[in-house]
Amino acid sequence: MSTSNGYRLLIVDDYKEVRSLVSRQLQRQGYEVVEANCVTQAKKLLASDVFDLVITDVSLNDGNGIDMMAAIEPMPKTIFMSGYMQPSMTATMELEAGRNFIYKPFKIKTLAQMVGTAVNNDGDQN
Amino acid sequence: MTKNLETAGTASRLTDPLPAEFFESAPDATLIVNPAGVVMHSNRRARTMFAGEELVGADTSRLGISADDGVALVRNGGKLLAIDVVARQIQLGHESWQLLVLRDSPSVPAERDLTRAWKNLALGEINNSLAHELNQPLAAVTLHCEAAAAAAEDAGNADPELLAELQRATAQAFRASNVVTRLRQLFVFDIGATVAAWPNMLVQDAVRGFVAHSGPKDISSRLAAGLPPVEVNAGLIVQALISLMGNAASLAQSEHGSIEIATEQSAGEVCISITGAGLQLDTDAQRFSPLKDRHASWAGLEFAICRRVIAAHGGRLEVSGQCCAGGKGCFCVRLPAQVREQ
Repeated sequence: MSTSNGYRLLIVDDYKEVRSLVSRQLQRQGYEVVEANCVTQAKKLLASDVFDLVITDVSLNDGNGIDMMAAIEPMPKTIFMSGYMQPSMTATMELEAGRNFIYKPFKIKTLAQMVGTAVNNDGDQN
Repeated sequence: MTKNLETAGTASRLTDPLPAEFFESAPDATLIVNPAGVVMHSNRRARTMFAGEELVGADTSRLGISADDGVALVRNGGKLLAIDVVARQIQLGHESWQLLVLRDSPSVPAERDLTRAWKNLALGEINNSLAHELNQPLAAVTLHCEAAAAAAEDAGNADPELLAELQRATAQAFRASNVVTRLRQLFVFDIGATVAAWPNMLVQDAVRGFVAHSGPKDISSRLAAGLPPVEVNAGLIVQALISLMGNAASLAQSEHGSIEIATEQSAGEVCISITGAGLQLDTDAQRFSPLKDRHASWAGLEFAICRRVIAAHGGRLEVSGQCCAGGKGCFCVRLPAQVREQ
């Protein structure tokens, strides 16, 4: 078991295997990870808890990860995941692969680097 | 007579009596319209273009012609024709009439181009959905491989051959994902040529197209006056409106409802709303996904395409049960209004 690094992450994905594998791998690196499988569950957690970073899929069973996060004021630091990016996604917010967006499939090492940069960055990551 | 012909083609005034025989044989479809917007003369070419329409005595707005925005979409034997409209003022006594010359336009998509664009969009949407659905398990494969490698290392059993096999499996998963990405790139969506179009004309074209396609329906319209134009590919937007009306009608029909299509302006946008009595819309995102369509009568793929078409014009498609009076279900197509130069 790794020593906690003090950062709390929320991972939102309706695809259980991806959610639990990412969660497990990030826990190995010392992060405390909470999981949600839909927008409704994520919203409840975000309303009642504080997270240093949210990692969310864009297409969820009951909504859209981008709209979900854009509705929160102020918006927490977020990394979006998706199998594809289309222009309508960037209409709501600026997404940049490698900064706040990662294409699926990905290597956990790549995501972990983005997570590390995001949680250690005090500026507006989004 | 020849003098009148030349004058009509090059200048904007025609003072002699109307040369009816000239118009009859002119190579371009030509209409002469009185100050009230009623067609007073038409030629042979125009009657062919508007097959089945009674032209003399018809209102130009009913025919789908707007001299102001320079474009018309007309139905001809079930086909949609996109035509350019060139208007010239002609002086008859003290009155200013219009001579409208209608030409098939290569700059505006006609039926064939529209069909191709829609088919391309459909394939693109299917590919997007496949990309999403396939990349999920591929992501799981790569993560499982990495988890297995990490577990082997933790157990002090990091067999180099085992790690190499896991890396090869990961590489194959990425390769499969790249194939999906390349397939998507085959269907890049381009809205093509755009024109400044009057929103009310788009609505009228859509209503006409919808009725022509689906038969008489209980449709009412409430069109605001003085709306600014919108910069659009008129054919694509009209097709999107027809598709939304079809969805609204099929949902409203089950409750014996009617649909209303309305236009209004708000904050730099033009909103075209399609409201249905009996149209029950929840606000979840499922309807946008072509592969997660839960409504038997709901054209999920069409809806996803409509959203994409509207977004490509800088607009957005909203679905709400709240945005219109009476709490009826409503689709709102919001398009940026064109700023006119002073």
